[in-house]
Amino acid sequence: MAEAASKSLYAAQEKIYPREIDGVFARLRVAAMLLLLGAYYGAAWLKWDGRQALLFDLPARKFYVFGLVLWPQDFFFLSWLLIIAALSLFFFTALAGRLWCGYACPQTVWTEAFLWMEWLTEGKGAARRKLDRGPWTGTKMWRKSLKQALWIVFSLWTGFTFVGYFTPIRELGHEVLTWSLGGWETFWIFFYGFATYGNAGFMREQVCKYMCPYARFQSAMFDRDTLIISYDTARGERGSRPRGEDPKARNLGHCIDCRMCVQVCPTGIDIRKGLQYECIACAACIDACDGVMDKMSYPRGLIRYSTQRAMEGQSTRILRPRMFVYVTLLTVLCGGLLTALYLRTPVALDVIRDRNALYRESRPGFIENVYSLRVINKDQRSHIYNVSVAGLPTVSIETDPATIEVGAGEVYAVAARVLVEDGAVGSGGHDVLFTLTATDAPQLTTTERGRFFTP
Amino acid sequence: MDRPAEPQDRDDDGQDVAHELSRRQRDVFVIGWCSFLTAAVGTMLLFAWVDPLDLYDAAELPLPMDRMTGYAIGFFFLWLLTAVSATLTVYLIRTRHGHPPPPQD
Repeated sequence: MAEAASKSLYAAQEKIYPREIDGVFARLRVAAMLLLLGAYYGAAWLKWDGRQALLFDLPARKFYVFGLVLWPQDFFFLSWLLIIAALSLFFFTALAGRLWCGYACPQTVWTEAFLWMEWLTEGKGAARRKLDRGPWTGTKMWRKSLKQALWIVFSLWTGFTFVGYFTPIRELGHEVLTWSLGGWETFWIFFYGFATYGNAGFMREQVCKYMCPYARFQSAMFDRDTLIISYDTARGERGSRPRGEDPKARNLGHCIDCRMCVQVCPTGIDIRKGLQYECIACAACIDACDGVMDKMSYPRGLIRYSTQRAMEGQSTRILRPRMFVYVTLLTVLCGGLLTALYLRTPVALDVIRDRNALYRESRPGFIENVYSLRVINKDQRSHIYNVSVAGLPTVSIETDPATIEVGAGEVYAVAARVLVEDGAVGSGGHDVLFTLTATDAPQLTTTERGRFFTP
Repeated sequence: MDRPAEPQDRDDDGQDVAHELSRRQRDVFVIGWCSFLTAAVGTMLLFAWVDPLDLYDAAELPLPMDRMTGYAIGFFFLWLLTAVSATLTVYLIRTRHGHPPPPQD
């Protein structure tokens, strides 16, 4: 097979021709792939209240997520969501290893889709290898071109959808049809399309082996009760044998050394040597081996999801304290996020002190501090707001203009003078509370702290 | 496999691993990729808090700039910064005491 060593991007290695397989895990993987790809290509087209349901409008700095409009000030929610995502990754890794890699990672999902197009045009496993090694006949040219055409169209569609989450996708589609795409849009469609083509068409498992940080550190989250894909060495020596013969007579175990598990592996490893860092936990070897065990009338599960403890014949517990800690934390964080989103008031206030002067004695008997207030109306309709101050004796506020009317989704800057009677508070800096309330909707209210200085 | 493997490049079975690319070329890929990842995260964090138009106003640049250009400039600036950091890290590891400098190939 040495002549098949391909020009790969990193270590010199054999080109892998994974053999197709059917089984429980293969079907699960296809289901996950269809669900995730469907969600990616479909969600961009959903509508909500007459606008795109999911739109990350970077030029306007607003994120639309169904009924919610998120502003940069809501970054807190995004970081919270990322913490939940990280914790979920820990949880699933501790539970059953690289579930993420095998079923949900975009690298796996798009590679599957590209493999499927490859099978469609070039045939499966051995037929593909034969075609690759054969001379450049008309059929080979035709099949290879068809594959490339499918890949390129699929990649560009992926790039188009990606940009469609940042620019309204219907307008984008119209621009594509009328050849009037903007510079950035064209660049990103091709850039993301090229990334898809390169990652899923050529780099494939090398991305997992050389580029993915998670693949390197995931094993640190394993413990001896983590479900991993394991070859049961206790079931005896491997070797070929005539059908129907009792393996014990030949001092052999259940492995007939058919190498099906190696042939189906997308990363080209031999699981019988134990878990290796290249393994993305796709479980194709389990499906392959179970099929062989059925044919040989041996019990299934020579390769199966099992824990290190179980393999060593000790008792193992999947539901261990670590799992309960993760589940509790995840429940609290998710519940907190939903509550915070529900209670979120669609108004915000920024209090910025005038940098030129600490204080002024503009009127006899009063100390004055000047502020610039930024009123951010995140609601879907306009409101008139009142500002009041509290926290210091005799404190009062005057704004210019006196009525603060802010349109839907707009930001409005107001100059404000805060006055305190001379001698009412000691010298130095004091906290003062600004409260903004919508006149027509008292529940739309927010309070911000500012600093007030006296001589 | 025309090039002999470098001594520290062994696989799990202790076999030497041959590479298509020289070590220096591989270093360049690792530096570029890792700094790209951190710069992408950094860009997200930075522009969640800072509006590029505010920065533009503060800098008083002679040319007009929209937000998308601001994001792009910010990203490439961060990428440059993280790439410098990664390059220094690799350089210091490669030239540490007692280790020969990388082969010139």
